[in-house]
Amino acid sequence: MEVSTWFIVVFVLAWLAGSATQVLFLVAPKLHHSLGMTEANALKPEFKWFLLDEKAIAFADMTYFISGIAFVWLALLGNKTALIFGLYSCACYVYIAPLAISRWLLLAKHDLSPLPRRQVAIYYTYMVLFFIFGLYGLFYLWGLAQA
Amino acid sequence: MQPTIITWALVIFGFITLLPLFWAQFSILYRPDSQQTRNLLIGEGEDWRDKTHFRMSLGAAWADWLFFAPVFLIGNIGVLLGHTWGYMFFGAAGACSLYINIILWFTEKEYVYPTRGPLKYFSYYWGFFMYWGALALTYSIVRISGFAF
Repeated sequence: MEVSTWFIVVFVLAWLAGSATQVLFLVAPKLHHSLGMTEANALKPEFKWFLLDEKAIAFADMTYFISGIAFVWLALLGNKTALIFGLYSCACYVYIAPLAISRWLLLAKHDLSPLPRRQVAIYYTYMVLFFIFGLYGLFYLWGLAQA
Repeated sequence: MQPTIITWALVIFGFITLLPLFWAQFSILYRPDSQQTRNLLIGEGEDWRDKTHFRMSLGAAWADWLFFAPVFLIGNIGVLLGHTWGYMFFGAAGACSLYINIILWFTEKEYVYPTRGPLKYFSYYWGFFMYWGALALTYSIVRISGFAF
């Protein structure tokens, strides 16, 4: 099985943007916050549940932190088992995008959004890119599976 | 890629596990803040932990109906028809089930586990979703890789 270099490069970029930043959130939350990656308002008591859910998502993202490493390693070896890890990561990317976007929209609609106004566009762009790459990845891996 | 007894078992297990979830998620979309929805999603007579909890649960319901439920349904049709694409969708649905239930382990376990106990929690409240997700994902890849069982 041969995975294209471009696919691996974009996969690694998505992996870095998603799960690698979540590692930072879990191991060094203050640094994550000082780099502007934690919504400032999320630390307020009224967003206790939001922050708990963000932490839970970060823990769940550790599964595709690991599956991303496994995918790249096995894909470089040409091993077909890579598919299971790629499928897992890409399906999660597609799933997390509508989950996050609909939550942000609902929270914003009710004036509960902890997202800083100036960063809103970045957050949505980030999720749309995950969604597009996840969908593309699923189709690409489907093609590989049939080869 | 024809379905076997294992395929049928996983399809049936998936429907038994996920249909109540999709029903509960439909309920929150249809009647967002009704008592019936609360009873279904967070327990008899219980209330949302805070305002963000309700909106985040509603967001999860949207994600389930926009992606998880269609992927699950298409995957089941595909595997029963014996198509490779069916196994991709089936595996993707398994990944969603695994992923969201890891999140729920951290957010909901402290509320659900003490009141329901280990048997219910590690079966239909949470466990079945994890077992089915892991099995569906693994089985899909094994079948795609050419092993028939």
